[in-house]
Amino acid sequence: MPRRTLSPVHLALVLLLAAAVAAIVLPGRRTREDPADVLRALRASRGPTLPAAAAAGAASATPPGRYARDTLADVIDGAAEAYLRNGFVSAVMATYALDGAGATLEIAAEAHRFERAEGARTQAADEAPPRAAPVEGVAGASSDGAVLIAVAGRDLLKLTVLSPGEGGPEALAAIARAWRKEQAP
Amino acid sequence: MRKARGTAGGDPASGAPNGTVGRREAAIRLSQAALAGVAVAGGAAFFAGRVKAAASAPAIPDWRVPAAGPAARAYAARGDDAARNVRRVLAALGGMEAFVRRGDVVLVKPNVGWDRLPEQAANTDPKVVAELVRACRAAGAAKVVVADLSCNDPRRCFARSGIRAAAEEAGAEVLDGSQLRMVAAAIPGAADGLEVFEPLLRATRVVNVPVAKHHGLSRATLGMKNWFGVLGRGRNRLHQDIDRTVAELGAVFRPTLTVIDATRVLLGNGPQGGSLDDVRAVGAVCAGVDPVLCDAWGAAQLSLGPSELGFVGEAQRRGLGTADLAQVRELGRT
Repeated sequence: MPRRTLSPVHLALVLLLAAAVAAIVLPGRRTREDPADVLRALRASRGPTLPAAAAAGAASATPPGRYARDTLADVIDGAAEAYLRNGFVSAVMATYALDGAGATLEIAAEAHRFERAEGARTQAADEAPPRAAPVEGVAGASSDGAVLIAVAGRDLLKLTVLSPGEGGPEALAAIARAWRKEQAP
Repeated sequence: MRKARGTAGGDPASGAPNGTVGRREAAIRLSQAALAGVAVAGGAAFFAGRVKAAASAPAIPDWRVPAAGPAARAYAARGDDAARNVRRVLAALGGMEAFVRRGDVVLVKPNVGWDRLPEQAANTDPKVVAELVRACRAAGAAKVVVADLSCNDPRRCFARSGIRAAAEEAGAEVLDGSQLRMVAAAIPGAADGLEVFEPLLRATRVVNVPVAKHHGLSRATLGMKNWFGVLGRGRNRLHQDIDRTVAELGAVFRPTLTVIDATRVLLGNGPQGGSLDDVRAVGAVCAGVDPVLCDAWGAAQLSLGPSELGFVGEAQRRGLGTADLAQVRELGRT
């Protein structure tokens, strides 16, 4: 039986196949190598998140309420229109309670996801307090001490101090740091 | 001789001879009649229930005080101190005692629609609200409730606007949307079927205290538009024909007093606002017993004539008040 030699066409096909396999397998291997990446990817795929109370330095948090495009108006009636215009996809909201000096400090927290990062940035600009300054140690965050706004990719975080009392700015920064840590890079 | 069934001269479908009804046909007709009867009876019961429910919904009370007797139907005061402006207009109207009796339950209805700071002028100024609460308490009110249904997260709106802290400190019970029970009410017109918050129906006196500001649809939001904030889910549909609807609300909700807050006026990008560039410090308050006149005055603070606001003209046509600004007595600046 005559022996066949490898033709250039076959060689090219084999190389193409090898490249395709590498393109699929290598990124997958990289992702699997870091459990934190896996966790972040999982969280990103299931919608916006808020950090657990303990991670945010809070004593407790209310069960998270989740809202989609058709239910956002349940919680922010007239304001929902602006969010929807900016490409709102979903949101999660909760209230953290922190033990302050003599009183419990309550902070309303909401994380909104938009279709595009531009939507999150536009909404953040609209919500930002007039005299907000960047928050040290939290990328993309600004605050006036009573409200904190942060953007990470398509997600917008908004924190509001509900009760007057000491420690508000520090508590806002702590929650924002915990949130930022959980976001995909 | 008996004719066989289905023979010539009879109805081939029913098997009955001409002019007669067979058992099968009779059963079908009886069933149809029974079904129709059940449907009619069910429908009657359903609609009777609805009519009964609508009839049992409480009517919106009329909170106006007859023959209060102020010399003018509205007064306006100007100056940097918002609380002082409130005191001056109330004094000109004969004092809050002319409107609130000992033991009254007073609802103060500000605009707390948005998660904004006082300086952004999207909500009623907290100092104006607090001063009204103090005046009602001083007049002998047994209870003063401050309530509104916000457009944004109600807790955030009441905290950021400063209204919760200021009104509570002044002695009011403050209820945001998360604390309000909604109940049915008989509201004729476009708002038919919408619920209102319960403290409104329990109040014996109502003070409507909106902020004067720009609105993208109606050009301005003032006193009559502020009634949107007592209505429950579905109120957004009222924006369809806003001028007519606002005038309708003005006909339904008849407050004891209307107080227009023009301490700061949002001139653009309303109703939510946000930019301080859109805000002008006017430093004025108007109070009166004529909601249409008060709205006309509020429009003037936005550099709008009464004829430029469709709902003011519509309300005037309905006989709800006058838009003649000459009837507002300006008390001057302090």
